[in-house]
Amino acid sequence: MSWRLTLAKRPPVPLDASALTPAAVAGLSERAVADLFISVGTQPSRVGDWFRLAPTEGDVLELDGETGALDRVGAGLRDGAILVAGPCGREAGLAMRGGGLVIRGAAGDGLGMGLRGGMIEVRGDAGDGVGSAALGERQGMRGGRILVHGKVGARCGERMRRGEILIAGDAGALCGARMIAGTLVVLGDMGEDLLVGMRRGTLICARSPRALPKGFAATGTWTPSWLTLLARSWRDLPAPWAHTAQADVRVERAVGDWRAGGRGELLIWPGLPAG
Amino acid sequence: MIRNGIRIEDTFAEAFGMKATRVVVTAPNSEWAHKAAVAATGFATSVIACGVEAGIEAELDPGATPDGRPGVAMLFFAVSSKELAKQIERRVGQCILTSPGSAAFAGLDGEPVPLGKSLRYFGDGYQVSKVIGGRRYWRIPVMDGEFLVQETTGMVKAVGGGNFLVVARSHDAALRACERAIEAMRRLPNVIMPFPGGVVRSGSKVGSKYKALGASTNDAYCPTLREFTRSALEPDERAVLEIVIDGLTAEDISAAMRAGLEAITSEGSTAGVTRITAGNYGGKLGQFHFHLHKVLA
Repeated sequence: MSWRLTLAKRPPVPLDASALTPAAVAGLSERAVADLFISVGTQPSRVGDWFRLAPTEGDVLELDGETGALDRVGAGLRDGAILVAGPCGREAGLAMRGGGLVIRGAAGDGLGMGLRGGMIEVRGDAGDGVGSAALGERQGMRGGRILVHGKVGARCGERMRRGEILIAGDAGALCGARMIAGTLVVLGDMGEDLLVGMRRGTLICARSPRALPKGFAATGTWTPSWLTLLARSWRDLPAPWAHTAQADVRVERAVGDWRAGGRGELLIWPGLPAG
Repeated sequence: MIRNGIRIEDTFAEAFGMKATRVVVTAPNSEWAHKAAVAATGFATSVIACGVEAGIEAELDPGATPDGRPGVAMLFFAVSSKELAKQIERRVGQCILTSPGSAAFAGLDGEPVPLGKSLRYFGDGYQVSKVIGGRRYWRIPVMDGEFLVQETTGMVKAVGGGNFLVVARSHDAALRACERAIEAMRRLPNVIMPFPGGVVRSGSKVGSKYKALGASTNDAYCPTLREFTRSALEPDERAVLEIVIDGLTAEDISAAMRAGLEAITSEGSTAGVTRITAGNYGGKLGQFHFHLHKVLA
């Protein structure tokens, strides 16, 4: 058994939802869940002061109502699943280490910052800094997978170290900037200053960027067999990822950014589904 | 027990615990996958001098390989984890990394054994890793592109040394019977017959007149020594060949032995086979005993 928490009224400032995890509410009575501590801005408060509680079947913790006012949903999550019925605020999935977070609406800035494991799926758009470094950290996400069905803002995958970001829509400026490693896939168009300062890692895109990024050099057509493995690992994901062609893995490849070591790669893969 | 005129002796094969792994090699086409696999499993008939016993388990269609290309599954058996790891590194490094267009993947889950973990350094700093589906792969730049290799493969406990001996009235009859048996046994998964063509002619006994040797020719079954030794051969028996089987489990070996024995006995004694027996050391050395009558029951 788990709980559906419905945010009945919009708080004056965003509510920090990081304390609301499946493990935190597991096995608790309604009264005990209502007494859990949360903070609204800098002020301590009780779950029961803001949420209506309803028991649910299964293990998924559901967040409903005015969810756009919830910051840090799923922050630090280690296991279990959270479903957000609408949009959510900033820093959803911050430093998550495992489990799953599904956001049915849009996500604010800082989605999956410092992610280390687990999977985040956003059915709408996401803001700036998807998978980038958490405040005070030198590296972006270090594991896990972020899936965004819509478009994302600037600095997507900035300084990411490991893991996978899949964007079905467009990506804003500075996409993959200062990437250290990991895999970033964009089906739509990409903004200015693409891959600036990229050290290692892979950006895979379905369409050619308007121009090759500065510091990059084209290396021709190539058929890397690891892309078949990658496409196969997406088979259980929702569309359009599940429909990626596994047989035709011919890509145009460019490497760079030479100004930062030049070990990163940009792959243009027409076999990807259209964004 | 007599099957179609062929006597099945009431004896058993004695087998030993081993460590095993499966490696899948893929290539742009099945021909090159096969070439790489033949090289990687070469000189691997017996742990006594080769360090490992290895063989091709199966040819794989593109749909059955991790990267969607034609492939070959190979099994490797060794007496210890350390020796298995050493042999895998050498054989993948010298025979698969070197083969055009190849890639190598783990074929078993189990205790990790390095596959590309050390080989990656061949990339001289240009190697990159990718974690896909929770598994780490290494992309090592080579002259025809990249060698993709999974970081580790899985090692499991296994069984080595299942066997039976085919005794016949002529060399030709023994060889043809063994060929039929091997054809039937190769259809089964999880087993290999590591000797050339799956057949061995130089069965051994424990000990030797020479102190330096731990094993020597099995004189009781050598037709040319009939007059010099306590022969186990009947007057009309002129050739003996042996099939040795390594398998991931005792059940796999038992199934392979059954398939081989049935392939031989189905032809009957008119094909020249007089009896089938098995090699053992009195039952005191190996943990696994495969009684021929039980295998065929």
